[in-house]
Amino acid sequence: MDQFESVLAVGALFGAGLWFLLDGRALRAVIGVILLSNATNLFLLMSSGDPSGRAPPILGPANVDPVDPLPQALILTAIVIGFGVLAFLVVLLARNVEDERHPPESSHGG
Amino acid sequence: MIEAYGALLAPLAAFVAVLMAPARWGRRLLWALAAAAGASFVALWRLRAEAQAAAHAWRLPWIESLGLDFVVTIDPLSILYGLTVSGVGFAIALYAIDYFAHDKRPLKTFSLSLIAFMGAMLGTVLAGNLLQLFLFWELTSVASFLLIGFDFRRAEARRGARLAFVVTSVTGLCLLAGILLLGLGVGSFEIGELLDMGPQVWNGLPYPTATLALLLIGAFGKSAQIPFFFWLPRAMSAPTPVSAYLHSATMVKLGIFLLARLSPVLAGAPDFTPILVTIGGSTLLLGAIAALFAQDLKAILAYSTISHLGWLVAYYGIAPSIGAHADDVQLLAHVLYKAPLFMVAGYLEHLTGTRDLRRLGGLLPKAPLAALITLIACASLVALPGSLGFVAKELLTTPLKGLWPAPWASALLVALLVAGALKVALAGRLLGGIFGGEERDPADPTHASATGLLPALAIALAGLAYGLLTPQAPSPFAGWQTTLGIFVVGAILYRLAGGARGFHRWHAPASLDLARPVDAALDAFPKFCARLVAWAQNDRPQLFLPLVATSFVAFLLWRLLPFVDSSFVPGIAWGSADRIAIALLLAASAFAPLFARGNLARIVVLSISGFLLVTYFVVYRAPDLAMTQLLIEAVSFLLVLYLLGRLGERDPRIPGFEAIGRVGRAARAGLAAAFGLVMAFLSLVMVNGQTPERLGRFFLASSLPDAHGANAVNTILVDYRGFDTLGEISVLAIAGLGIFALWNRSLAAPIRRRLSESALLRGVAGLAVAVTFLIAAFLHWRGHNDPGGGFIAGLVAALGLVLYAAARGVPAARRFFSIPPEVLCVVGLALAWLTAAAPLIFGAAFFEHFMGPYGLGTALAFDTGVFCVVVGLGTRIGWALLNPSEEAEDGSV
Repeated sequence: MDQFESVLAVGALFGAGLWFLLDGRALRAVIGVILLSNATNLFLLMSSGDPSGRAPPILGPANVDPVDPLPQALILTAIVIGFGVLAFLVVLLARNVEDERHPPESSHGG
Repeated sequence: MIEAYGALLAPLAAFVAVLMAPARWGRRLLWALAAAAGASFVALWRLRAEAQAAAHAWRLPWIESLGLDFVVTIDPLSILYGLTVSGVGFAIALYAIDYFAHDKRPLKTFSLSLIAFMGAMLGTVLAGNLLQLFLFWELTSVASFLLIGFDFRRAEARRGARLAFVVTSVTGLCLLAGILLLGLGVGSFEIGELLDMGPQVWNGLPYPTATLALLLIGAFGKSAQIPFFFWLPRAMSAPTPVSAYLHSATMVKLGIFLLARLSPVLAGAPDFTPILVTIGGSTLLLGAIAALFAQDLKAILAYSTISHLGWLVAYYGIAPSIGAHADDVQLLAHVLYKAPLFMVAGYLEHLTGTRDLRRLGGLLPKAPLAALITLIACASLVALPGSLGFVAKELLTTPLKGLWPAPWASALLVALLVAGALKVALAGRLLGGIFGGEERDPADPTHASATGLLPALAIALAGLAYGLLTPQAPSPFAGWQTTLGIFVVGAILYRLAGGARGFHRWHAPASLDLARPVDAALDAFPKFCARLVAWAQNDRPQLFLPLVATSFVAFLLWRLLPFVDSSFVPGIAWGSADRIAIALLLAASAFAPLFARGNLARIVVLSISGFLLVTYFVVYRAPDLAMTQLLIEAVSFLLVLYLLGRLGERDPRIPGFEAIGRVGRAARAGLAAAFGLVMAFLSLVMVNGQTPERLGRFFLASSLPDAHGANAVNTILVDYRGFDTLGEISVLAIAGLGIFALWNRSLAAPIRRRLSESALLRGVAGLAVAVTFLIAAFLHWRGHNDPGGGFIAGLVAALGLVLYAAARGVPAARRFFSIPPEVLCVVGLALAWLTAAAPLIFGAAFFEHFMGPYGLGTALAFDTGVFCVVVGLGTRIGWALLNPSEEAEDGSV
């Protein structure tokens, strides 16, 4: 299978993603999460095989073999969920920063 | 047949009736137990003759896919136990109604548990299938737990309930394992078939030793044998009716029942006799000795019960060689003397306020009826000639004596002699200690009516009559030398101890109380778990994140390294030049934030990485992914930009992270590198061993004819795997909820004002919304056959609405777009769920889609639900970031 370039990209994205996630600083953690989810999506997409000379998974008159649609459907779901999690993470961090700067009057502990 | 089911249905009916009845009826609810017990008793009584003739089994289909039937077995054994359970249940119900006469505590749960217990007992003894037996068996443990813990405000009751439940249910799980080994080994769980095979069963079993051990552990745990006996004395914190019923007459007999039930099969097991005689004989002696040391009246009775159960276990160890035939008499004898003793104990507790033998005494004038009952019961306990206990003992021991001097039978007979003498001393202690001597001050008497003793008297008299009238009764003078010897030794022991009061000074060493360490372990276990969780799942991500990553890498290496052998040839072949270029740029961009200066530069290169991924999706022939990623990338960029607005040039540490030194950074780099390499290797192995796309081919082939859509990705999302999508939009809505929970007005983005000041943007805002909605509608409609669909369309529409709010302010946007986004979110979720569930109403499958003309169908409706959720959520997040204080501000700033 001619996908070695994808192997390199996947490795780089995963490695860099973990590095930033472990950094522990707010913006870098967000960068890490985004890189990790991109890496995962690309990793999943690789399982649909070498796309050379093949068509998108949309059935038409073209007499070309389409690629596997299942990884794409799974990734589409993953992208949108990843966005939901990212939005939550960003607001959580923003709230965190805000509370550090102006501690809330009633502390909820922890 | 109707009787067989009736015996089981009567408790069920009573249970339902009590469930519906008002709780304020209190102890009157127990009449339902009496009625059910009576009905079951009559039903089983009518089957008695039939059962004597031949064993019957009635079956209902149960789990057909496993070939399991629900079997009701009617044979002498099940009838005997069934009659005991329902008969004693009837007497206990009457007794309990009096026992709780002055009790203000609510009794509904108690009544329900007691009825459920009786039903479970009947289910166990009538079961014709081992798995069915196990289910009812465990149900009795649950009911026992609830009943011991009746007085749950007392720590003693809670601890006693917990101990009993843990011991009986853990040993019950062993029983299940044993049943599975036995049933799977033989190929049938039906007791009838197992009995037909008899001892032959063991020839074909794969793990005979483990099977026997597990089955016996189950029986020993329930019947309080060494080493599990300790739970029973602690279970005495239950109300006395419960102790008399569950922990003396019925539930603790289940282990014995199991041995009796499977005895023809078990007899063929290796070492069956030595194990049972050793365990049962030791328990027989231990219980008899411990009864002399205990001071609590009910604990004494509990140890006496343990002793008796030990005798029966040992007896079944030898029975196969002599043929068990009088065990029913022995069972009844115990029930008929122990239950009255318990009832007397409960009566005395009400009369004097204590069960402590050291504080009782001289009660003969006050409680003559109790004394009479105790006398009758004790006669049976010590096997006085003429009593039922004597009849039972003689019937069981005569064949044993015939085996003398066979080692195991002889050992058991000796143990029985010793225990007999100890029992004589115990009887003296009970009668002398409670009714003799002078009266003590009542501690805290509540009430005691002699009428409450009538059921006890009835049972005791029944035992007396049975003993005198049974046709099997041996001569009272049979083996009189032995009997005399036992009584003389017992009397000497009694004198040596210093009479009834002499025993008060006896104390068993606390170290012998196995309940203590087990209880301590049960206390310590949750603490250990809490500490383990605190250690492994701590709130310091700096510790647990590397831990998780390291474990993940280690796990992957463990699974992947076997792939690397001489035959492994990694397919290092590159794709086309454009793919290589994009992939290398993508790899480089992942590291670019490392070298970028400043936060803004970091997120810009991050965004470049995202857009590179979009193009890579394109070359991977994934147009839907490319569109989605493009839109998400745009929204994510805005989100991160918002975060940047709050952070400025700082990048504060998340709480739980600390600055790390050179070594720490090296370790982190090593871990990240290892992770990247392992994941790359995993992907290499994955594409190397590419399996044929069988699943993909299925979707491609059936998408058009079955799902009426040319876009296979979309049909998978809304049709084939619609349930996933449903879960996904639910998760999205939950993430939205989390965001709103965290939100407060101080989090508003500082970028709003500058955007609003752009006159151009304000001017075209309305037009922009119109255009984005048109595009969204188009993308949405065509999604089933071409790239597009609800997600993509929803993101486009949300972007338009957020843009409008950015230009003219959120209040203006709210006026412009009259549906509140949170409402849209809920409506979308409801629409999606409805579309999925509606086919159920019409008898179709969950998520079955219907296709109408012009591509309009339920699939489109479902996708519209997805669209609404995404629009609602995207808009809500965007608006919230822009301006949380909508009421205070006006759009025309």
